[in-house]
Amino acid sequence: MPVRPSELKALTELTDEDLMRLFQQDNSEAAYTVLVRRYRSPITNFLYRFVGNYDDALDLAQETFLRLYKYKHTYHSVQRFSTWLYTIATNVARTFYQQRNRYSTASLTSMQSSEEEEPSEWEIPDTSYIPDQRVDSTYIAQRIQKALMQLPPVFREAIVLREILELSYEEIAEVMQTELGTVKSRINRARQRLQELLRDVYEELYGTPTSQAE
Amino acid sequence: MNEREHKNQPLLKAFLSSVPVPEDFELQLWIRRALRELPSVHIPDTFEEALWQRIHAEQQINSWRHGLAISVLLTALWGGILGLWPASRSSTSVTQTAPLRGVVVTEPLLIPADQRFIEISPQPPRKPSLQPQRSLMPIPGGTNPLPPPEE
Repeated sequence: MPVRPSELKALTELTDEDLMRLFQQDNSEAAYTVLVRRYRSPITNFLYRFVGNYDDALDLAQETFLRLYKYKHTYHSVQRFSTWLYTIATNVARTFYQQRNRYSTASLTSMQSSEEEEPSEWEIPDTSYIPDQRVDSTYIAQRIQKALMQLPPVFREAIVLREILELSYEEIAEVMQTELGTVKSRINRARQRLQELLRDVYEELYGTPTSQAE
Repeated sequence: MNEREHKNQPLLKAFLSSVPVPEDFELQLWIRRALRELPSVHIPDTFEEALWQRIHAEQQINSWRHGLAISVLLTALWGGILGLWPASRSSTSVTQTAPLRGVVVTEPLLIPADQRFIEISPQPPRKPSLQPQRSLMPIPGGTNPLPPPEE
C-alpha cells in the first residue's frame, strides 16, 4: 500500500469535501485512501442491491473508485461529495447493464422511458453466496433481494438510494439526474410493487394483516 | 377563552374526519424496515490492494498511450519534414525554370532619319557600344531601330 497509517490517521477527521480538495490539489493518495475506506461499504452495498451479484458488485465498486481517481478534476467543491460518488456508481452500474444487454440494448434515455414496462427477463441474482451475517435473516434477505431484482432498474435504483442508503429525495434526483417529482413517483411505485412481491413473505411470517387486526 | 376552545373541540373533531390508514400500512412499514435492516455486504481485505493494482495498471497503460502518441506525432512530423523538403526544393526549381513568356519577335521599325538633326562630321561613325540595342540615341546617317524585346 502506498500510504502510511500515520498519514491516514491525520486525515480521518476531515470532511469528504476537504479530503477531495486535498486529493485534487496535492494529489494526496492518503486523502484518496480515506475516502475509499469511508465509502467502500455503502458503495458496494448499493451496487450489490442493484446488480444482485456479489462479485459483480465488488468489481463495480472498484470501477467506481477507479473513476474517482481518474476523474477527480471533474469534481466541483460546490457539490456534495457523496452525491457525486453515488452518481458515478449509478453510471457504472448502468453501463454494466447496458454492456450485458440486460435492459434492451438501449441508452439511458430509453432506459428511463421504459419504466412503465414490466420487466421480462430480469436477472435473478446468484443466491449461492449471500453475505448475510445471521442465518435467520438470510431467507428474508434473499426474498427481498429477489424482489428488488424484479423491479425495473429505475425503480430499483430509486428505492435502494432511498431505503438502503437513506438519501434525501433531492439527493436522489441529483444522483439519478432527474426531476424531484419523477423520483417521488418512482419510489412510490417501487414500494407498491415490493408490497405485491413480498406480501406472501410477510403473511408467512406474521399472518394476513386483516387476521392480525382481528 | 380557553373554555371556548374546549367547547369547540368536539365540533372540530366532527368536521375533521380521521385520515384513513391504508390496509397495507403494516406491510409497508415492514418492507421499509426490512430494506434498512438488510445486512451489509462483506468487503474483502484485498479490496484496496486490488484497487491500487488497477490504478497502477491504468496509469501504466496511460503512460504507454502517451508514449505511443508522442512517437506517432514525432514520426508524423519527421515524415512531414522529409516529405516536404524535396517538395520545397522542386517548387524552388520550378520557380527558377518557370516557363517564360513567349518571345515576341517584332520587325524592326525603320524610321527615316531627319536630315535637319543630322550633323555632318568628318569623323567616321562611332563604333557601336557594347549594348547598341539599348541606346536610344539616333544613329547618325542611318535608321534607328527600336531595341529588340528583352529576352
